[in-house]
Amino acid sequence: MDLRDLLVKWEAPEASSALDERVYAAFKRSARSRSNFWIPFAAAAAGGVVVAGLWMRRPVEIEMDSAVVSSPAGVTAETELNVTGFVPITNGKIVVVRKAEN
Amino acid sequence: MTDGELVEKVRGGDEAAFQTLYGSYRDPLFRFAYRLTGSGVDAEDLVHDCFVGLFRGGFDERRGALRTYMYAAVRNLARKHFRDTGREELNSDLEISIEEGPLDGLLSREIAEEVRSAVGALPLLQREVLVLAEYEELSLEEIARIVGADVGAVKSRLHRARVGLRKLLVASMKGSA
Repeated sequence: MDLRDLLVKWEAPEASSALDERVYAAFKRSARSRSNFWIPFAAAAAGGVVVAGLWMRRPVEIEMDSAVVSSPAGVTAETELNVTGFVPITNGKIVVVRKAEN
Repeated sequence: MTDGELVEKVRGGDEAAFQTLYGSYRDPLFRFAYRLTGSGVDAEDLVHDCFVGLFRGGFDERRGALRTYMYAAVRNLARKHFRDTGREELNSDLEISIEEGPLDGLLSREIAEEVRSAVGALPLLQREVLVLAEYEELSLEEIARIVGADVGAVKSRLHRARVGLRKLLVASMKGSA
């Protein structure tokens, strides 16, 4: 008898339906986890946009009391601007004054 | 559709692609795993793990065909299984379907058992190439890619496997006669 004729006498059994169920479940799990893969990144990106928006809308305090300005010659000059008690005019009128013709 | 496109569709959750792919590889991989381990239960575990690896993105089309990737994955999983269990010989849960008369069935079962024992007695490197060549009818080039050896080494292992198998079968037939 030929070797191959003998070998075919040893048949493999059929795989069970339990294998099909296990592999199918693994397939569904894998597909689900892949479709959810971008959710953390999308959430992080959305959070970043919100934080950036809040940062840009933050109140800005400007100190205008004094400033030290250094000149190129190394001489420092201190200027002072005190706006305490400053009240803007309410009924300001713009008057255009023609330059005197001579 | 290329192997890579099919796998990508499966990974994207395409049911039809999954059915195509699973239907193509389920039985050949199970047979291969069964003849390596001798156990239906172990073979199912190996096939399951092989598909899980595929779903996780283990396949790269540039490195070879899907068929050789799948067989190689089962082979590597089987080797890991043997390392973990510390044994390479076949399990003894012989499962043979009997579709003949009682006497023919008995004879077939005896021959199948002799063949199973002889194949199981081969060293793993010889057993895997024998199973891939004789049962799965893969080419020497495909087997070489699967087992990670050159074609010359595969030919040599296959020759030694056939010689060894003949000796074992002749000895067992004489012993049972």
